[in-house]
Amino acid sequence: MGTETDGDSPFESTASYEQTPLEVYQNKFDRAVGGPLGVLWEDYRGRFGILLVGFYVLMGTVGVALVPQPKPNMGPRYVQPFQDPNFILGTDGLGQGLFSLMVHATPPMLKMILAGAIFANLLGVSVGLYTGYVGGATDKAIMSFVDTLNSIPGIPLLIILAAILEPTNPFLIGIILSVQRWTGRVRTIRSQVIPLANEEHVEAARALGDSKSTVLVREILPHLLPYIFIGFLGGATGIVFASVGLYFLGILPFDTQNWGIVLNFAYEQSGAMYSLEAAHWLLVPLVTIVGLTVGLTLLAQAFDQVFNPRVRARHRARGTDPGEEADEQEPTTSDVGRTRVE
Amino acid sequence: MTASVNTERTGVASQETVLEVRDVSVTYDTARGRARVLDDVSLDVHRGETLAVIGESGSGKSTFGSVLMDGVEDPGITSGEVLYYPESGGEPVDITGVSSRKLRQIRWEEIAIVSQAGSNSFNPAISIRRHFTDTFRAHDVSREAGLERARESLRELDLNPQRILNAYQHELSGGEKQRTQLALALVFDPNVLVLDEPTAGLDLLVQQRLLGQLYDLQEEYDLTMVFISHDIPVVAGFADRVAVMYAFEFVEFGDAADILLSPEHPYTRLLSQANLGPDISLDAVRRIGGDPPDPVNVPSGCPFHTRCPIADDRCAEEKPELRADEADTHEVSCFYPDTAVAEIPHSGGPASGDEQ
Amino acid sequence: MSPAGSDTLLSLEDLVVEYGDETAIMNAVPQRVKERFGWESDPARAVDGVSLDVAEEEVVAVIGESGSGKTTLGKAAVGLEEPSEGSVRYRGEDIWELKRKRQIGDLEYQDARRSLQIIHQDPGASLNPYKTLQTILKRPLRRWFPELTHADCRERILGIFREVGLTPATDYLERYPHELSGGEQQRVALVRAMLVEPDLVLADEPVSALDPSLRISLMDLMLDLRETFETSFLLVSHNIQHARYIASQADGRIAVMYLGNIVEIGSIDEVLQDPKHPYTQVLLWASLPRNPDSAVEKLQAEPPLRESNAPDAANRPGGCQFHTRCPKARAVCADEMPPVETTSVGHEAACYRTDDAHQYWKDAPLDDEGEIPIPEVPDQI
Repeated sequence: MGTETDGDSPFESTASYEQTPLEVYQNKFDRAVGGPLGVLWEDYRGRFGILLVGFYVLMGTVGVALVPQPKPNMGPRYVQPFQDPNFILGTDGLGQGLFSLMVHATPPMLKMILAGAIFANLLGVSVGLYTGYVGGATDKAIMSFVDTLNSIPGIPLLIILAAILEPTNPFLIGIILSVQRWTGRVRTIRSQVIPLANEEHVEAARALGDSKSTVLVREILPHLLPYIFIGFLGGATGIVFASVGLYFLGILPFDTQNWGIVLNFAYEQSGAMYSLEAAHWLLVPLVTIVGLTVGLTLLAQAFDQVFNPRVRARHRARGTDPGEEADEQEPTTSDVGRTRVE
Repeated sequence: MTASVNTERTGVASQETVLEVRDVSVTYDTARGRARVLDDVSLDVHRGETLAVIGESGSGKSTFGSVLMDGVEDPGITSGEVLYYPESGGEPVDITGVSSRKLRQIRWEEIAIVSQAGSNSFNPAISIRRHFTDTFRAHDVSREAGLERARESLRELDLNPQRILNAYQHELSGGEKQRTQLALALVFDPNVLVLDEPTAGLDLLVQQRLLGQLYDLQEEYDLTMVFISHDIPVVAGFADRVAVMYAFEFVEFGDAADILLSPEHPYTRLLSQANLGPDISLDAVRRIGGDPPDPVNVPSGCPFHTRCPIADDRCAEEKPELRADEADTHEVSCFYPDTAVAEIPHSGGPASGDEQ
Repeated sequence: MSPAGSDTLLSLEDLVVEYGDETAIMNAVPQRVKERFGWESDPARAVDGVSLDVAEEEVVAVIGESGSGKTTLGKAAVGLEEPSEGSVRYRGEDIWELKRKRQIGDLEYQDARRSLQIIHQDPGASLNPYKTLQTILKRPLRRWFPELTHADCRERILGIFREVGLTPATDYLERYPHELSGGEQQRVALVRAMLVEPDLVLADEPVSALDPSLRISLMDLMLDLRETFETSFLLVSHNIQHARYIASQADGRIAVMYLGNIVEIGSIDEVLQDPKHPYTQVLLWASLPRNPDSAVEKLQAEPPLRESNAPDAANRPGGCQFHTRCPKARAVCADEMPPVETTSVGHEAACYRTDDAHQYWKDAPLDDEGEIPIPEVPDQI
């Protein structure tokens, strides 16, 4: 790796070898994805989180192809779990395999989560970042609008929207479920951006000519990432609960499958709360719901580590994070010594 | 690796010891290895004196200050002992080993600490009055009596008690915050005051005033002060004795006049030149090359040898002990103190004997 | 106020920077209503009408205490704070006009933006903690020198590290700011500013957060880089000794600020040897000596001021703003702000004492005990 110098100053040197853009991007990818995954895996919560959530993702993708669609009378009614190898989790009062029910309700749930959390965060974070940084009259105008929206009560709004629109598309449902959420995000993101906007490194970036969007993304956003990710995952759990709740209450149309529907039937149709025979009909969806939310929560906790530069530095030192290799021929002096040009 | 100081040999008339530090080390386990931020230090602090501890960031000086109040928090591990001799006489108390209840009583009532200017030593969410009353409650002092004393304390530092007590920390200027911290530290009339860079970052006029007030307070209350700083001029007017820290241990120690005007350790001599002041000509200013020592990786032999202009092979291999110099005026940890005096210029101010 | 015969790089004209935030409600009230009811609030001024020229390759040190407005002045000078009144001109053009119009004549806003850089007091906070040093330094390079390839940038950064003593250089590339000592961080901040080859760098208390032995190293580095790049420096500090070290070696000037105004300005040697304004004299007095005997004396001395507490910008005294504390204040000082007088070439001060024939000398001192003497400070050698 050689250096060509223009004149005497190292400030003007250029390289005499080529590094292709591909190599640069590969490097960046390693650092952006490989590193974080490594950090997550190291943390026991991250590991569990990845495994749990991964399991659900598998269920929702591969699982639906392998596991048969739930139908009434696909098997005897009220089969207990772990009795029959054909119906691992047993069957419900209509003879539907509970495992099938769980698996096939997963894709719509995942879609709802994706759509909803992305919607709420994309909108909330970008508006919050912008308005917090820009300040002044623009900020005041935007916040008046946002605060007004925010003051509309959430649950009644959801119920009304669900009742009027009767949505069946899970992406649409996800967005509706998050319609209240984004306004809250704007406020919280903004309140974190305001003190950051005056930080020295932000000011230095402005001086060095970075545009507003560059400053927001490179200097301010990294401070907020842990919060955003945790909020994202928290929003996901919120959507899980909200959807289950609305389906359970029968407000959302049953065209789409959902664990809440199973709960609804279990509760209404057979009094599963009162009989041991039908108890599993209630417990299976409950455990499924809890499993996903626990997985999401664990991931959220572990993510905090990913964004912490001290943790990243330790990983790099241990070699689990890709980085440059030290040149062994470099002298280890760190004398500031330079000669004054006399 | 004991760098111990024998107080009989410093030439100061033997005085009562108020704090005895014996073979204290503080270590931390870090990802890079074991960091030793205080390396077997021993020192005696005399009652009523001002002991200046000079060192730079990362020399261990702040840790030393914390140790005096057993303030080193987990995961730092403190070994060795710190004995405190109460004014009333009687048995010395081992601060590092005593019960937490007794420690709480000692802290603040006997030994108080004022930390760096600009640090967030005040809780921004509560008023200054709350800070005082919380302290009173922790020490079983009645609120009214305590507040009376607080007002007195504040007035002594030229602060308006009414205004300060009602204020929140962000409403106070840097100098006011420092003086309030000082008032809080003095509210129980402690015997020992530990000051860690109390004037860092303060304006020149504010600094002069704060130091002047400290000087008066010390006279009036016969305080023992341990004054930690990286800035020699700040302690020059106070110090009775000076201890210089480098690489987590003491490298020079003795009477202030000796250390400030004719030190013998290369680091101390170089440090004097690296400090700017009105009484040093710009030509005499020199920087010290190299970088401060890494607690996980202290250089072998004499820890200063990598930056020392007179170091030789012996310095790289063997570690010097802190011992009295030939004239027996103070203690130095160097193999060649005479060479240091001969070859490294020193600027201690116009009255200094060996100024260029 | 500019040194004779040099090209003016940056010119501040009657600069005023206000601070003070109205509440949202007050903001919504129309101006006329406010005037009608007298609800106008006078915003406090951090910078109260300052004019200053900085020439190419010049070093100007701005000294003052906290509350003097020196930092605000500096940031306004490099275009990071918008002035409320007055103008900041880069090579003749108002930079905020330039920003709006993107280009005036031959001059683009981009040129101005790149030419005015900043170094902060707190090196830890001035580097993005989430990025490696390589990323931090690569950005401005890629932004301003798009012809450089990634490999070029890397080599250039390595070379710079070696030059300023951050070795092994390849090691430092992948480090995060928290893995550096304060001195190293500040070196990185300095080279980051110099990378883009600016015309003027604002150094805001660049060494106050460093240990004394590191200060000299960094200031030497600043001086070296200044020569290499022919950059001007605007040094803001509360410590006269720092100003002295840097400005003296660069034949620079020093400006002393008090409550938003420059009260004295001149070449560094002149102002330190022969300070004309009482405030400058008091500041010089407050520097602590190293010699123990002088130090004790200084500690016990009463500062030569009428009042110890500094006024704040929201409550400015009338007349000469320093009169409430000035040891030499007389009746006329409370009435009117003294104009700036030139006492010798390039040396100006805003004090009636510079005019031997002024009414001032006939007035009685404001202090009941008469004029307070300012002890002679031994000559700065």
